[in-house]
Amino acid sequence: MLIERIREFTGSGHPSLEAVLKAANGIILGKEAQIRMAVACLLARGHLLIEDIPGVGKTTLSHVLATLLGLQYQRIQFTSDLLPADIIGVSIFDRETSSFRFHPGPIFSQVILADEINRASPKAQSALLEAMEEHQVTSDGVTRNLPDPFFVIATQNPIHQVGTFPLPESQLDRFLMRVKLGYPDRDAERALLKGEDRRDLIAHLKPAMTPEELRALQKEVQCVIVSDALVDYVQALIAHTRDGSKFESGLSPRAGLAVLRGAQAWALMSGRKQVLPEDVQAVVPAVVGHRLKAMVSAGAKAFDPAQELIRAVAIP
Amino acid sequence: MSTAPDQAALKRGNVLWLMAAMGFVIAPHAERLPLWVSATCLGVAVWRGLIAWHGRKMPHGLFVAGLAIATAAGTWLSYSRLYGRDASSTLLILMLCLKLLEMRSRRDALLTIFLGFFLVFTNFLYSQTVLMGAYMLVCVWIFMATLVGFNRVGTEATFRERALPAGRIILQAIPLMLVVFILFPRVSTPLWRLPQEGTTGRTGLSESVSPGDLNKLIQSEHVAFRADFKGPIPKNDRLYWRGPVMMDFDGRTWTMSPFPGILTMRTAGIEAKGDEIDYVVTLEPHGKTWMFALDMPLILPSDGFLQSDYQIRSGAPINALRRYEMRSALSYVARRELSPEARRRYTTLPLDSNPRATRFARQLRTNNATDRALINAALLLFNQQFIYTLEPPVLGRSPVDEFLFDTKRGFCEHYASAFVYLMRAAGIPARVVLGYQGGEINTVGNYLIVRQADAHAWAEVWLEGEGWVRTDPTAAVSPDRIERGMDLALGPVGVLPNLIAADKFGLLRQVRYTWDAFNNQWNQWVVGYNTDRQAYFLKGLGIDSTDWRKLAMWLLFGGLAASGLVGAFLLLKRNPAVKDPALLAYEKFVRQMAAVGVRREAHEGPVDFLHRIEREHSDLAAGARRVTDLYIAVRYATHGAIAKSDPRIDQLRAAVANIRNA
Repeated sequence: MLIERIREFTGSGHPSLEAVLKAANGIILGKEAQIRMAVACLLARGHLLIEDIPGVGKTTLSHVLATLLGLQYQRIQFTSDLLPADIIGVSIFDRETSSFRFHPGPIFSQVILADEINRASPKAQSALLEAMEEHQVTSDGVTRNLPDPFFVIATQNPIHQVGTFPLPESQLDRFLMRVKLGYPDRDAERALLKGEDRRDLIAHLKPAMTPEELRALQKEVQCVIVSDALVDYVQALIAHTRDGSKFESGLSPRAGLAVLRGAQAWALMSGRKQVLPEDVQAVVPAVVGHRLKAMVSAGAKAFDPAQELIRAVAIP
Repeated sequence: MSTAPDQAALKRGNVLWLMAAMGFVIAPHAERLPLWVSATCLGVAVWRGLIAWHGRKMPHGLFVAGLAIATAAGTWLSYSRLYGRDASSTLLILMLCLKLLEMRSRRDALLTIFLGFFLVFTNFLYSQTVLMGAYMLVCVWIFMATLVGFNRVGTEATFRERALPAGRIILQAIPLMLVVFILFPRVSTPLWRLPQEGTTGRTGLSESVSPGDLNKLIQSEHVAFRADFKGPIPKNDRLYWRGPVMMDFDGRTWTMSPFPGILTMRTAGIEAKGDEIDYVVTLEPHGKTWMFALDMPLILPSDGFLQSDYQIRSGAPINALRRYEMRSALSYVARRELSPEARRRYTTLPLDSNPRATRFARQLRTNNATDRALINAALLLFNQQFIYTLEPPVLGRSPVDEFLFDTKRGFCEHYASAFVYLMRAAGIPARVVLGYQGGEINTVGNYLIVRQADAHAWAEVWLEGEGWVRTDPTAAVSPDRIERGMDLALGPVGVLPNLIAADKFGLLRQVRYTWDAFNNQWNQWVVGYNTDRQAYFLKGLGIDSTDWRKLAMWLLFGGLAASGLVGAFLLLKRNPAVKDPALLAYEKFVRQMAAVGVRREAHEGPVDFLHRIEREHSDLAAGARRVTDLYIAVRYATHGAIAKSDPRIDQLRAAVANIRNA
């Protein structure tokens, strides 16, 4: 049977992937959709931005993901006095060899948990830029490759919170997806309050997937079929953002690619070999939410740019 | 702000195009412009050429400002004002030319082009003919092409790359133009009516007539007016188009009454005897105030008034095409009673101006018992002894005497003048009427063309009990002139009529009639499209034009519709509607679902739609599932474009057709 009921999160047919989702859902309660989106983001080889108020489990989610995917990870707590060298590493003079020796920073690991990324100054944030896009860092004129796979999972507080620097658009654009967690619902919260300490759970968490399995899945994502008709739809979506009446600026070509890659991963996770418009619609809020800014005009009702976009564009 | 010359503005091709466009639009003005203006414009063009081709420096801003002031002063000296049609268009032309010298940036160039469009408009202040319209369209095209060039990024545009997009833009604008033209509320007079300055030397009748005046006019082939009859066109000898009426005579020249009384139709004292004839006159501008109507008018045009001598005058000089509806009675009784004062005035003659004629008139009076007999005797005299000719001998100080007793050769105004003189000398109230007689029937458009060549003068006498009676002494001399028209009476006059006469097959005549009919339509519907015409036309479309709010609504609606149509056409052209056969089949399925109440949202994907069908119309779920499966397989599970020959497309069509049976 070709059609799966994708909105109800049917199986992907990949046992290890299902195991990852199941384990994550066991720790972060009531957030199946967000967890699924986050995993899709990583399968699409994209960096993930988790945004919400403090205390809803952003950091927990990033820890859980890194652990379950069997990746070696480093956490960087971003603060206002963080310097680029604190991320990339420094060259220190070694007396024994009479030369400078590079001490790699936390960025040289498969997953970076950039916690509260918007508390750092733009200077420190920009140190992440090259790493995220090129998968390499340059320090003292030497370019060093980063491990593969390489993900940045960043968390950030809403912009209006005290002591935050809004991420520059250029950096926002480099995150494939942004996921908002939101408060847990009543039952999930109750289970959370009554259950074990999450930190203990994470401490005992075992990887559910090997890095090789992850790479294989990532390859498979790239093979999910994107037909001309679907590209037409994505182009129609992008064109709608660019006509200049509803959004402050249109989506970039990179955003278009991100929509396609995200939709491919989503399709794979739903066990399909081709992307449907529904897959695109599923990932659009996460992919374009942080890239699109609704035009603010006096008297106009505020609207969710992603939902507005989906509703406004007919599927060709 | 940077003053560095903009690259686009300095491209030679663009500058050349702009100068050419300006040359084209100024050309029709050239014959009216003072010589120094043309010279200045040419000089500026050459200078701008040197700047563009030989890299000369742009003149200093102050210098250009000085030139501007100097040329404005020159305009004032030439016209002794800066406003008004001639002075303003001259000033505009000069300033636009000078703008070339300070054209540093693209913005300057665009400004110049937009002012150029305005200059196009000024040409219509002088001429509103079809040819001028066509020529100005060409000018707009050239300006458009220039605009295209200035808006091009990168290499300079070729001729094709300018001309074709410009043409397309103009074509795209036509629907909106038509809507605005038809619906935009009109003022009662044409838009380009401006106060006329000075003597413009239009051909036509004048306020006075002396021997030899009219035969200059007879040479002119200019159209005086056209008349479109509701019924059949009356016979030639009944077509007397009344114009200025002459009352006073100084022995040589007849002049109009300086203080004519004004009548209303009620007080006019015109009684129709017989059929009333309805017709529409489209009067060419002639710079004077009279409006022509067949003897005798029964109604007045909206802005016309009736003088006591029955001529219709307009409130202002007719400087633009005027279209008015008329009704006349060809058989009538006018003014049964004449006051002693009027009787005195219409029998007044200068003392001792033409003594022989005065004596002859007294002799006629004693020989004839009644006025009728007297008139007939005078007409008989003309008929027996006089010759009708366009080239009469020159007359001296007593023209009536010399004409009546010496030369005996003359033209309509000689006869009318002499006849009225005789009548007055014999005590019968009489006056000279100028106007046009007859006209040429355009067989293509079935209307009457009255040319200056049809100018005529005749006499009117007042008889007891009969009122004013038209008496045409020319008819007594040369009945052909009145019954069959000027050409047949005297042979064709002018070059063109001679050519037409020589044209055995009537081809030229046909071409001429067709062209005139075309001009007539242009005049009726384009130039003469005024409030009345608009109301009439819109009524035919079911639009009430008297309510400006409704008109504004229609204008808005029509404008949107026209722009929308053009826009839709352009969009369709961009995306040729070669639709994927799978999509067509799926759309059919969607329509079927809509028919049973499950409407697909435009943004709803196929699987979502299927789920909704399953929920809302579970009996169709199986069929819908099969359609959706196939549709997804064909449309979304293929790399690249879908092959038209894919067997699954037929399966999909079959699935759609059998949706209820599945």
